[in-house]
Amino acid sequence: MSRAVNTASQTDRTYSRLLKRETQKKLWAYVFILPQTIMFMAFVAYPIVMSYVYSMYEWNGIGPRENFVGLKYYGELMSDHIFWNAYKNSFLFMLTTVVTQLPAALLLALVLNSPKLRLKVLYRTTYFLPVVTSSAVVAAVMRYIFGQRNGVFNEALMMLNLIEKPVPWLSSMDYALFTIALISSWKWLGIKLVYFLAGLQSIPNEVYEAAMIDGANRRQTLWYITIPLIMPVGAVILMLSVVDGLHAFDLVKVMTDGGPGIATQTVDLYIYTTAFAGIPSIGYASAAGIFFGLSIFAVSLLLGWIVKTANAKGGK
Amino acid sequence: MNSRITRLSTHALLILFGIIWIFPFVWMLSSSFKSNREYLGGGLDLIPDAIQWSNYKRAWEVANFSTYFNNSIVLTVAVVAIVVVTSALCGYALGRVNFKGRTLFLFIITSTIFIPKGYTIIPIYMLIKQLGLLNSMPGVILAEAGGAQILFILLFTAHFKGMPGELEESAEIDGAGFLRTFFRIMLPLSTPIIATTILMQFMWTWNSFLTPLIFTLNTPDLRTLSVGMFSFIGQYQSDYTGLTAAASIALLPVMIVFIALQRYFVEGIAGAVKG
Amino acid sequence: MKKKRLALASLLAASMLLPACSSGSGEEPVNNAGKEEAVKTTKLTMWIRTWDNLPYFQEAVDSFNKANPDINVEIVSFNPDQYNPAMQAAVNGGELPDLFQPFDQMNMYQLKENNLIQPLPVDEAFTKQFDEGTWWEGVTSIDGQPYGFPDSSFKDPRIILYYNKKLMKDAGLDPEAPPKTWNELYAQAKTIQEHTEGKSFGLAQPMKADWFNNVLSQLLATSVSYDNTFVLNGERFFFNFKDGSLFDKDALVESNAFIKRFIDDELMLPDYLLMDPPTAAAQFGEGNAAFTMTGYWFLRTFLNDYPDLDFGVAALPAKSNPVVAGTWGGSPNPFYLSSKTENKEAVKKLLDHFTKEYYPLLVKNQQNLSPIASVNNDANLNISPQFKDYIKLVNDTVRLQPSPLVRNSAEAQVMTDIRSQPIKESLGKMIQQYMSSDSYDLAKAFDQYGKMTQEQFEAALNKVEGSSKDNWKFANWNISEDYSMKKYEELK
Repeated sequence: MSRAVNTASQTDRTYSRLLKRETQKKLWAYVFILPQTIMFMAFVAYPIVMSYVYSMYEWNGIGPRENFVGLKYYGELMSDHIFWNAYKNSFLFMLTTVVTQLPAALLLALVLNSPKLRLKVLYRTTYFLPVVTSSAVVAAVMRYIFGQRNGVFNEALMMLNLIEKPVPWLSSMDYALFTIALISSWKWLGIKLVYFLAGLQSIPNEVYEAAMIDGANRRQTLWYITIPLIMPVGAVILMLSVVDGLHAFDLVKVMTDGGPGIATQTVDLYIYTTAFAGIPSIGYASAAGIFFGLSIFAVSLLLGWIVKTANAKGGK
Repeated sequence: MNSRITRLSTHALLILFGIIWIFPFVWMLSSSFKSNREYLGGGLDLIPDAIQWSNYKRAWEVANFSTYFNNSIVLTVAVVAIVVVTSALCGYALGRVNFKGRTLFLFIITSTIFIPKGYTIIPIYMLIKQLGLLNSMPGVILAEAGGAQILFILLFTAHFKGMPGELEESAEIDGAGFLRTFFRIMLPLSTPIIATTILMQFMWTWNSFLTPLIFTLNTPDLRTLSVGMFSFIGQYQSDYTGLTAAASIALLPVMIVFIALQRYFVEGIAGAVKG
Repeated sequence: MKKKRLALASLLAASMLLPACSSGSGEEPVNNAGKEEAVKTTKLTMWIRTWDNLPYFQEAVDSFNKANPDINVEIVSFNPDQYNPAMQAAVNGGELPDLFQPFDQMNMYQLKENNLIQPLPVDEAFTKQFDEGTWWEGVTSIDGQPYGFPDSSFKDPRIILYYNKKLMKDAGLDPEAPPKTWNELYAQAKTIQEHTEGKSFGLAQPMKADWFNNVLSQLLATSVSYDNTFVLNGERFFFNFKDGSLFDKDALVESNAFIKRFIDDELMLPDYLLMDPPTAAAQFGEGNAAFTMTGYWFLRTFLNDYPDLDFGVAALPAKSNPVVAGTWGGSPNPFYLSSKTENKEAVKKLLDHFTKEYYPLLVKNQQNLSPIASVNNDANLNISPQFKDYIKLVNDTVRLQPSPLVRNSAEAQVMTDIRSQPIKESLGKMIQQYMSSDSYDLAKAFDQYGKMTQEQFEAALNKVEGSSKDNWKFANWNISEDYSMKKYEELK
């Protein structure tokens, strides 16, 4: 009898202790997210909000911001054929990088993931090296490698008899954008490789063992097991690559600065030029930035929906 | 036998592509030993006519390299420390405590990935100025660290979420509070993620250009390497071999950090992916 | 563990303290520690955007600091395209340096209106030393008061022709007879390239920089339609001062077509669209091209960095009439004085010092002409034959042009107004597209540009109070004559 009573009050005490602990945990949680929240408010949220505000004022960056123009710049943007040229270039750039980089990264990851391969670390480091360099250096080096006169790339192609005369990879209005996109693919492939490797490694070994027991050969394992299991990670990588590609700026700025003419001008470069070159038009640049941001958002949503539907179908 | 051939040929291909892959760096290294005349001539020739150590000397002295180098180190180490600490704390709370507003918080910070930032540098500049930190190293550190650590928060969140609840429970039974559980148990198990964060943030901050430039305008002594490297390519000079020498020097720390930590890198992300 | 927490905390703390120890925080430490109540040091900062005269300013500043221990002048140098954002941030933050050069966002009058600059603390004895035209309304002075300290002479031909004498000699051409006309340049370039079998190209031009393409084609265009065209500070003002119209597109199309001939006939050094001026200059210096039309400031580069190069300088080749490099007075990049600077005595000392030390350095190093004739003509400064040729070239081709600002300073606002319209596609970029494709209609593009600019001009005239198109018309203007102060009087 007394024991039963003890248990009851014990339970009460345990319960209240648990409750106190839970509340304590929640309080600590708020403390833990505090630094990040403050930084986020100050350095992410506030500037983003301000950029919307800026887009509705005519302001050159100096002095008081007092000339409210509402949505005038968005209207101007629609008929600005230079902006649309940049828009088109950004998408072309993104498509080129995604199409060339992702399959290559996946393939490489599959090869590097096979357990019997030695020297894995060496290869990983090698292919990751370009990621670690600054774009300025890459640009300076590539300008000479892809140059028309005595450029290494042209020399090599001519030696292999693939072309007769040197091709102006970076100074032709037709080729420049794609050349820079390929260079960008080269530079960032290492990161995508690592992401894919991580994804592959997260596939538990039991799955492979089960497949082997079932008598599946390597190709079947690859096609029916590995690829489907890596789709979710692949989708995220795709999303990140799309957004990165649309934001092409560093390499383009240093290599051709949007040239020749505006053949390689991407949206971020256009915005930068409008905001910083000559007398800035901060409002117009903001409007362009916001419009582009919304486009990217729409693209991401679309991608997300496609991936979800594909997953739903293929998940069986 | 068959598999041996496959293996050998795989290696051969990997090595071939590897060489092509890092060719630009080999070229950069070889250029750093050439004279400007040879460099401008272009061509496939990788062996310089005569080794020009003077390029390295110029890089170190002319561009005030040693100062810039130190500044880069200070800035990068500080920023990495701040980012690791705040992301880890935040990720832990998000990953293990179901508090009110958690989902909202996650949603908001994830959605900011899609919005372009561009010249949001001006509001940030005004903010730093109001804090009285313009033209000082803490100001640059703050501006640089305040950016988007969304990736790391997500990594930490996923990682902590994936940790088994038993760990926490056994800690609680031992009488540990929230803090102790975190510092003694959870954090030590997060080495791969911490290493990943360190590595990635190190790379970004080391090569960061626009932010250090704007926030150290009036004090050239505070400039970092990337800002200083552009002093080689002014409007009236084109010391390209000096630039490649400087670039080779600048590459070293990043490479060292990478080689030291890269073992954790893949595992870190894999761990997060699993979770 | 506690250890880890401690470690993290101390790492964070250390990273905060470390920077505070290492570098200064804005306040100049007052001199030698250990002395009693130290002398108050005045600190002056000077922001420079031009790289060519930077070393001489530095040298002059170093000797000044030594001679004046109670004043500390510090120079901060910028890449030209970082300068505008830096100034923007400085104005916004209220942290202007003491001495700074012009930036695109605000003109002198706006700076004065917003109380950002003050007149130079100099007297008439000081200003009288300088060449006529140095104190120019809207550039170095406002309403007769000096506001800008000249960094060099305003006599600036911008782009000149360099020719490689050795290559000419080898190909059988007279090295003392550089090409004077377009046809001559083409012919000589072709001869040399054929002679060297393509090892050296005929012409090397940097086409990566927008502004460069623009200025070059405008200068060349002055020799096409003589009385109708003139260059004035920036791409919007290719102007006809007789009738106040902007932008003679036909002349510009012709001058660009002239350059394109070299590209089409493969006489141009390849990768021209990727070359900035220093790179193209280096190629010329290495003998990879026989001719180059590039900045006058490279004269010094060639003299110093390429001692084996046997070269000469000449005026740009002309189509029919000689090329005229029109200019306003004042100085290319004068230094303004911030209104917040208190120690005017120190500034006066510094400016005096520059006059005595910096200007001679300019000439001695063959970098540029100083705005003081007596310094330029000082026989003690040992200058090269090329620099002597350059001085002659300057006197032959540079001509003062009329300034609407002298008639009414409100016109400065018109110029700023036009400049503040965002340029979506600059002339330089149109020229790049023209050079890299066979189907680009440059005439049409220029035509549209011209119409747009004319509209902006008219709109600005209407908007700015006190401005008038009449101020932009000068009936007695002749491009090949200096438009001196007398001529303004004649008009009245």
